[in-house]
Amino acid sequence: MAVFRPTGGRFPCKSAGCEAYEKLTGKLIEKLAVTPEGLAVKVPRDDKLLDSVAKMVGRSGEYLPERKPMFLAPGQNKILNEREIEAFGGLKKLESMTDGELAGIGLKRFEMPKLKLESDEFGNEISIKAFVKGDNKAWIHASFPQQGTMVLEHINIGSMPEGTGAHLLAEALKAHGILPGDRIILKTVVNPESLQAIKEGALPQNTLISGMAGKALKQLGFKANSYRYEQNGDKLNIVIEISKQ
Amino acid sequence: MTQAKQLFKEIDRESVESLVYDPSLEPNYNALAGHLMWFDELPSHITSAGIDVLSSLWVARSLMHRGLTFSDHPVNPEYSQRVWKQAIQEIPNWPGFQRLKLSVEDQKYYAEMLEKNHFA
Repeated sequence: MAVFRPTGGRFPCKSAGCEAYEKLTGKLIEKLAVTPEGLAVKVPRDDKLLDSVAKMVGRSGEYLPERKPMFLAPGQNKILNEREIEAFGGLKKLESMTDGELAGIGLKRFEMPKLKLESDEFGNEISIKAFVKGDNKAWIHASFPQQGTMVLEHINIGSMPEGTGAHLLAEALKAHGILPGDRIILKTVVNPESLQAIKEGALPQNTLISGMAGKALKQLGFKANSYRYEQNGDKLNIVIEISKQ
Repeated sequence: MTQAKQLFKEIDRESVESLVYDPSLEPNYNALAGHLMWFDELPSHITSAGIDVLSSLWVARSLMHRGLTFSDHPVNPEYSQRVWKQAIQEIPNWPGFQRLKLSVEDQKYYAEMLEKNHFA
């Protein structure tokens, strides 16, 4: 499956840049639709044209991440995981509570700030970045060296709460309107936590970094089919083969 | 004698060589690979293969930042050292070569980053 570059509503167009180019391309299409007889006619939206325009201009601007119910754990810079949410009565209950009621049980809502987007294209290669507004250490960088393959190059959640990495990855990809089709490569997983786990014999699917990627995939409607370590020169990568859910 | 294959494609080498060192920048931590990088070290227009070589350099430099040597490279010490030495010849003006030692402040930041994961 190829890298997706949806423009026709796979994800809502939220960023200012995205809206701007859609307006622009919409106007262009409408104004350029002239019959051989010289009559101006309105033509339907052409996703292929929109797609090629998107590739030319790239995705930039700001993006408001989709709202995902997240709750800060009491006294910690960490969001509640599924098990902890259940312990507090379940997601539906927490979602229905007011801020005051949440504060009463020590919880607080967390919403991911806007993302600032940058992208670059080099032949068939695409490179995307998303920076968390207001947190200059939180960002993500991924490249798409070939169709169907996404390489996660950099990630840092900055001062955002622990547990937000998957949402950051998923929202960054949505913001750029691009998804991996066949595989994700987590490049150079030599951070101390992963290295320690690998030294202790952890299977790739049991590392924390793979867990983060797996959650992001789920949010994007994909599932992981297999995980493997791959050594390439001086790099130790985790390769995740994926497919649509 | 055979000459080593060039690390960077010419277009990437030119991009990297055109980067300008900005001493006012703060470091960023790549939680995936456990290294620091500064935004003036990564061209905005570069191929994936070019990013791959820079990634090798960032990991190699992180050893120096932690007071380690190439022999401590977690995956392939010889490969890492070879890339580093060749990069000094190919991209001598890469801003990253000006940051082989960390300031006290950056050292503190790096130590904090290494303490726990920042990707999940």
